[in-house]
Amino acid sequence: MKAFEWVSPASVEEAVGLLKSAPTSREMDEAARPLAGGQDLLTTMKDYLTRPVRVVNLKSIRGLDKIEGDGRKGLRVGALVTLAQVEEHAVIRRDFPGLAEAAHSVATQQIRNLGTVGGNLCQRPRCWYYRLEEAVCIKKGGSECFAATGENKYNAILGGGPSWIVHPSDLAPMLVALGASVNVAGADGRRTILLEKFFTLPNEGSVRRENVLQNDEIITEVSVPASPFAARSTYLKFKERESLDFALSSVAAAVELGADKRVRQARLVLGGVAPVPWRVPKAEEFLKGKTLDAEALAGAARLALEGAEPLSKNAYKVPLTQTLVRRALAKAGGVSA
Amino acid sequence: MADEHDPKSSTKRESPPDPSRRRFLKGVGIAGAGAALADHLAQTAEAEAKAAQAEAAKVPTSAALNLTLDVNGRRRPVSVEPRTTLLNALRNHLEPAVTGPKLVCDQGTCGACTVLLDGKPVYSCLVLAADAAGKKVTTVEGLGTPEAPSAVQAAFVEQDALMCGFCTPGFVTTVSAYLKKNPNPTLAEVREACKGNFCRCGTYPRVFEAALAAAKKGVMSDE
Amino acid sequence: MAAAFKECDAVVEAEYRSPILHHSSLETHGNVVDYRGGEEATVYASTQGTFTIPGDAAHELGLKESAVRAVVEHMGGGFGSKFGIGVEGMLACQLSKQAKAPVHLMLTRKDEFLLAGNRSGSWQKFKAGVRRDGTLVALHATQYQLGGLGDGSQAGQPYIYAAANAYRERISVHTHEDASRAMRAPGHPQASFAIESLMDELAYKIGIDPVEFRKKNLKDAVYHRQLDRGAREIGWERRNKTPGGGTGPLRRGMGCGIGTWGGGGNDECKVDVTVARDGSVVVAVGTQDLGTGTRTYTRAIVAEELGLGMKDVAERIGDSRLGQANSSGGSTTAASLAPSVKDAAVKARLAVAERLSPLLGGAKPEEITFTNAAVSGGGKTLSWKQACAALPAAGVTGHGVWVSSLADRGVHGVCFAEVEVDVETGHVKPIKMVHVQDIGLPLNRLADESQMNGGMIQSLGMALWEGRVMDAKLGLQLNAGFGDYKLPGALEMPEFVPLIDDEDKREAVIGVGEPSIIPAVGAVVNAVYNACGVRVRELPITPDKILMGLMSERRGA
Ligand SMILES: Cc1cc2nc3c(=O)[nH]c(=O)nc-3n(C[C@@H](O)[C@@H](O)[C@H](O)COP(=O)(O)OP(=O)(O)OC[C@H]3O[C@@H](n4cnc5c(N)ncnc54)[C@H](O)[C@@H]3O)c2cc1C
Ligand code: FES
Ligand code: FES
Repeated sequence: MKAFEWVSPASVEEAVGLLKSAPTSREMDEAARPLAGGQDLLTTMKDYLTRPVRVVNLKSIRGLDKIEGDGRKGLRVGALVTLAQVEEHAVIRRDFPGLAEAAHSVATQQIRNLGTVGGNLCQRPRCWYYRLEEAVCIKKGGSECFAATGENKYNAILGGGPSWIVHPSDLAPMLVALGASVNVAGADGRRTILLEKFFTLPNEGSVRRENVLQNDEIITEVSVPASPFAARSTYLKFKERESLDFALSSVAAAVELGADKRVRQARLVLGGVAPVPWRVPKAEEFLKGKTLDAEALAGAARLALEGAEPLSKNAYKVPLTQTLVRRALAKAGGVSA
Repeated sequence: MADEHDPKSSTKRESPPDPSRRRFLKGVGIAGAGAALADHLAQTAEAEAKAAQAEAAKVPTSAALNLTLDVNGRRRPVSVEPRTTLLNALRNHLEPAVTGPKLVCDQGTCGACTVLLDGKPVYSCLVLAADAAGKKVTTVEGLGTPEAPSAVQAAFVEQDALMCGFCTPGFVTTVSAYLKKNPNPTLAEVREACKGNFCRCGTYPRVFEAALAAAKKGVMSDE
Repeated sequence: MAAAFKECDAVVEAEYRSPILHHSSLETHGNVVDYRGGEEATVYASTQGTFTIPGDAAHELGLKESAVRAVVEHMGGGFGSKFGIGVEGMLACQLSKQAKAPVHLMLTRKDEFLLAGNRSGSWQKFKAGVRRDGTLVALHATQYQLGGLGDGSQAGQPYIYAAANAYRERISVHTHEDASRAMRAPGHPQASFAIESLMDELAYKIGIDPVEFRKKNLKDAVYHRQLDRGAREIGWERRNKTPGGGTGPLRRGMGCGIGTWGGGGNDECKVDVTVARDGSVVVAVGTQDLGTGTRTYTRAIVAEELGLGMKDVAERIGDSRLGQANSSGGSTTAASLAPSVKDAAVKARLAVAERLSPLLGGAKPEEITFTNAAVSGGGKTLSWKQACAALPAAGVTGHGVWVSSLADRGVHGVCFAEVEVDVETGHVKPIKMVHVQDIGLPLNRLADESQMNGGMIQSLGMALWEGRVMDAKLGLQLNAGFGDYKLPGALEMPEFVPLIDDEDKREAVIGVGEPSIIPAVGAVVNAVYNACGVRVRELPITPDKILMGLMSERRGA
């Protein structure tokens, strides 16, 4: 990894100031970076994918590691809260079970003990072309997405082009499903962004980024509103290798059921299949008023994958994700798939 | 390994350590020594030193950091660059070196570098040494010795839970931490706990047996 | 051939592919070269051959071979990839020579994937025919060895089987990829995977139980008894009678596979067993321990011979200043070393006995017994300490050489696997693996079983997850790291049943490292087919292949 300036600010204001004031470079992968758990940033730095001139340690800032609230008041999770804290938190497990499951599904305990919520949302893609230093793909300033015609079994089937990465975060689909927003602080002030609007497709904004954050902005907190479906939320992740792997495909589902067991509201977000957490409003709409029987599950699964455009080697993601949609909805609704 | 010997480095290695910080710490030391209410003042001095350190940490630096690591209960001063990982610091910068944690993938994908940070297993290849200062670092060496092995270490030997042994320090460390958290695990729980540690020789079944055997013996009793 | 195929009641034409695999030793290749100028140097090497180092290093350093000492106290796995000093060692020598200082140079994980050798890939095309009764009549095989710049390796087809009419050609296809090296049973897992898949296809096609089908085409009775034992152990009668049969998303299936290996020992080890006057015993030989238990049996053989406990003997190994030993390749270490250790121990025992004879009523040295740390003869018994006190000041040493009658070669192995396939996701969950292996005289049953477990686990990796992925246009490996080159981990492990075939009555040592990686690949592949009805002919069998297979089947139906 390249050498960098190291600094541990005491406040959010100092942190964003230090991000802003860092020696500038025209190369965006050399911009100053905030460091949280380092479970992603250090991996990209070791492979020279990012080469920040300055690393701003967020862990020296107090107060960003709190979990507050509950299912009635809504939940507030500090950006520095670790994934291990999320998965073990009694209130989250009770009121937002899908969020605890999503956190638990990430990597291994070693990574979850350090990896944070903010870092999880801002981690960089895992596409093996992106991760290979020698392959200067479109995400690294090159002109081409090598996955488009290359080894693309792990790549996007929805929302792809001009890059076909999939978003690697497991928290993101679940948090989008739960209607979460992020509080963001920047050198020019603070803003709150609905998480669904936080992530950007490769053809929106810069293809080299995965979200709307500016270089001098950091996430300070994630807030999850109280909702009638949070208590019936679940996250299903399918991995090629169970022990340690990113999602080949995943589904975050949440449903509100009426007394008649009919769906009043549903949220359905796909992970591992698109460059952003892929919400499927059509399927959500379709489920309204239905009992979660086999037919409804199959219908939702079909609609969820509508418009999928597989590349040469990832058509399998369509049936796989359909299965996961059915299973996740059934689990959230407490019925058998 | 990506570290300070990296040819792609752009560090100016000659850049001097931050002078203001040095002077301040020295000043605190003298004031403390001259005072009558030694205890109280020493505490204040320590707090002030910490505050001073925090103040100094707010100034970006690419110079070597003078850290004190707490490794297996011993305070180990070490001078490393900001980019030096904890694993690298342990293996290559401490004298004598702490070589239990192994460098295998350097990417958080194998578990051979697992150490405990304040009791929790982490990959030391994905921790900056600077971030480990002020925390308790426990390596396999801190769990027991060849003469007085811990229950987990002894169980690994008894069950033949190692072949080449390169993954073993990581497994022993992970299992030891897990048994503290859950002294009576099921096989399924042991597997789940071990999923961040990989072995090429293929010792898994015997690692599981060793973990269960150590649990049976009561891993807590020898610690 | 054409005429022979006409005689057949069923013919299968199929192609099987296996990708390039990586040894993935957790310790990468590398050395510490300690040369500070002058006439001598020491190299601390991660190697499978202590004695392959000094010559290589001497050449680089411009020293005499005898002036370079290699030390291999421990090493973190090799699996066939660590012989000689390698480019990394040559570089370290050059650097040390110029700096006149010790140089520590280990490959990074990425380097390890790109230049430290690999198991060659395979592409095997078959046309094979059987009669209704299951007899293999004709087999035509075209075998491509994909070893990059190297030749690659593949055992010749039809491997352990025989066909009245058989033809094969083997071709090395060269690419601009780094050269393959030996990897645990070079060429065998590839060949076994393909032929065992083919045998399975033929058995199902002609409608004969796959185990019976194999027996029909194997003359060697050892395979028959091993197949029977493995089938019993896994519960073969419970298997899915129609591949893919059953209801619900989770389908179980079983399969089997077979392998063979030569092994054997050579006259290459010189071992010294020294008994000192204070009673301490040291067995010394330059050999290396790859994690296979070399240290343990070296010590155990001597302890047993002298009637002592394991703690009473110390072993010194991994040093080129000690007695010559062979490299650890081809599962020849134990068969070469153990007989020499035994010989040295016997000679040391007799030397001690000779000295003691006068104290034991003139008993003949061969008749003096060594048990429970005591020496007895002529109606008298001395404790070990007392006995050794009678030795000369320098103690006595037995110099051991290889005894051919204590080693043998040629083994058989059979593996059965049970897996569960989720036909809605393509996920394969290994449930149980049984491996039956003859190994001659087991030196250490625990370690032998560990070797078998390790072999099954590496086979599982080959069957289900591992394989180099290259980008054809860029010419770059896309998965040169443990994130994307997926070794099986804790959650992938089934229940393992390693069984030493004790009906093998040979009182001779044979290695077990390599044989145990061969038959399991075919077993897993065939179990997947039996479970879900999809025949995947290209490894690894990842969920995408199963799902696509199921989809095309459904489209076909
Ligand atoms: C082997 C391995 C397997 C993994 N598997 C998974 C997986 O299955 N699922 C998954 O979701 N993740 C996985 N990860 C990614 C893992 O790194 C994240 O899950 C983790 O949460 C990252 O958090 P962190 O605090 O360590 O982030 P860091 O590494 O500190 O930061 C990651 C990125 O976010 C930026 N950043 C950090 N905090 C903030 C903030 N508050 N505001 C703005 N930007 C910020 C950093 O600058 C950096 O660019 C895996 C990682 C590894 C190494
Ligand atoms: S070396 Fe740290 S996880 Fe592999
Ligand atoms: S014992 Fe060799 S890698 Fe685990």
